[in-house]
Amino acid sequence: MKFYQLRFFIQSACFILLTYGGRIGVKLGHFLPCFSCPYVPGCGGHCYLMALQGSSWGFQVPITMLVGSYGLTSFGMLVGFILLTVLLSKTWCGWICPFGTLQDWISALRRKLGIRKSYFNWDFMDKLKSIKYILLGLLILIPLLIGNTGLHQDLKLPFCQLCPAKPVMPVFAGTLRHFELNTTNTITVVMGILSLILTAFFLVGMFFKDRFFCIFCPLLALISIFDKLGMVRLKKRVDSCIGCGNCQRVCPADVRQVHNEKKNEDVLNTACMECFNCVEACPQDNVLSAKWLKWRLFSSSGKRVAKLLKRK
Amino acid sequence: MRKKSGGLKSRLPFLLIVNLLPVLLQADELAWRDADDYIQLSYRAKRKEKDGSVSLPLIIKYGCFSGEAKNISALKSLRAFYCTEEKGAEKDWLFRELPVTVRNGVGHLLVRSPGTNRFTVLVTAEQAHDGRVCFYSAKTSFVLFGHALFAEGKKPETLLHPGNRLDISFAPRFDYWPQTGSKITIVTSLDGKTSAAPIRIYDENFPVVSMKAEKNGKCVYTPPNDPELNWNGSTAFKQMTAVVRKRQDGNCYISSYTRILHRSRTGNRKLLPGLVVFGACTASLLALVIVKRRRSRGVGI
Repeated sequence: MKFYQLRFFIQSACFILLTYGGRIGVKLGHFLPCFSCPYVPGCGGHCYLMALQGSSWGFQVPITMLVGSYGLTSFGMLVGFILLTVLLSKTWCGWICPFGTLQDWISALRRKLGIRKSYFNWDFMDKLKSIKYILLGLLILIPLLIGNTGLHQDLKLPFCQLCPAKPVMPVFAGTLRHFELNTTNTITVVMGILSLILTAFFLVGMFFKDRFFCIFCPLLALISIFDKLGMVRLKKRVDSCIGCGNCQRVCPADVRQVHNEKKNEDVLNTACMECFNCVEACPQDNVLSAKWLKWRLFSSSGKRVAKLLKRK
Repeated sequence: MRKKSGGLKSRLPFLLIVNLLPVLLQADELAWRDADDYIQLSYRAKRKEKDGSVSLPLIIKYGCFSGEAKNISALKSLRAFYCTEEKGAEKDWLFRELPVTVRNGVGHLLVRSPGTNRFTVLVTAEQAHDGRVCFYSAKTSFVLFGHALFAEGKKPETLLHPGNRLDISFAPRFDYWPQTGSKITIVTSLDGKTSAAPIRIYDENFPVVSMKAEKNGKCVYTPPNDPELNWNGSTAFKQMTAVVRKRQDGNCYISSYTRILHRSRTGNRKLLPGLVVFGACTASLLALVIVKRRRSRGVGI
């Protein structure tokens, strides 16, 4: 099985498991490091961001409660999240995340239609990438304000309210429910309109640019905090690199560091989602490799690139 | 014209009598309904304890809906019970006693749940006057979601069958999210037998609603959409109490059932405007990107 076929197969299997798994009793918990949207009826597990913002395991409580049994339970959820993150690192994003898979499918559709990909200049891209850390900060701060200062309850789960996965992913379970405009009060109307505008923005964005939403993804920011502990690594033999730039060209996240790195062997970048397209596209034998701890999962190969070029 | 008005004048006493007859016949019943007091359970804000458990304070009020609350100490044999959905061999609800504290003429209860539990709380009391006894009861059911790490403490061993001859319940008894706009079936029975009975529904934000349970003891009520509740947060709630009264063997039985109601989650959602907003945004953004891409000739967006 070829690399891209293997990835497509695993992504599709994970998409089905996480979107429909609940219907056959699969419950992978509330701390998954991927966008397995809890608003999908019958989903197989829940994205950790909901737990992080909520009042059952998250920050939407008085600060005093965070020290005590409640805090321990919340910490337990965080530990679960960290363990999963450390175990598979960012392959959660590149291989498992159902919303990431959907973005890849939309990009594939664009390629089929022969529409060229959009590019941002590097400075602009770097500025955009910092937004995900701001979002991560806000999705902790707003629930804390609701729990401690009486900020309006209708702002609860602020990121979930605006996340494009919330209206889009339930469509695969046959419901348009989250495209509805909630006219209960001014806040719900404003949040509803904002959510629909953002959904349109990201859907259009992900059609023209690969993994457009991942540029802003606060979950990727949270996973990146544990990058150093991750068991899945991206390694580069810097001395053998010919600097062809293939790795940079095929990267859906527009990561330059893999190409530019001249010293360190470890080239895992905060924006990287470990799709390993770079490894597949590298024409030098064993220059780039994906490893799980010491074990090599996959390495670059000149023969494979030659075969790919011949096929194209 | 004169003839007509004269005719109406002559018929006026007759019309008045015809119209007032049902009211006059029910006058005693109506007076009884409005004047009689009842006890009701009233919710206070839930508390999340440091150990992860959840506590719900409840208040027992005594009086009639329109008047001021009376001193609950005037009632005899005031007792409170709770059950957590356990049934005995006889399929009866098995209750455990819950301590009642009376402060400032009001009864206070505290229900604490370390884990997720479905509770039914029942309060009974009685009062004798003019040779008749009035039996009061108040009931409510709710779910508490505690997250304590440590197991629940030992429950009192004694299981009771509290005497509650006139029963009133809501179906579904437990609702994850009781809300306005959802149908509620009110079920009443006296000594286990269903019969027609007048029911009054007291809602914090609406006028009193009078209903009548059919012979099967059931009637259906849909709490209306409440604009006042809509303005508060999604977890804000109000209380709705249904009261049923019956007379038998010279005694009277007055029971109430209280339920909290959140704002409707589904009643205010509109799909078409949502799809229009989404469609318009998508079309505008697509047009914007296409124009921008044509102008920039492959550079940038």
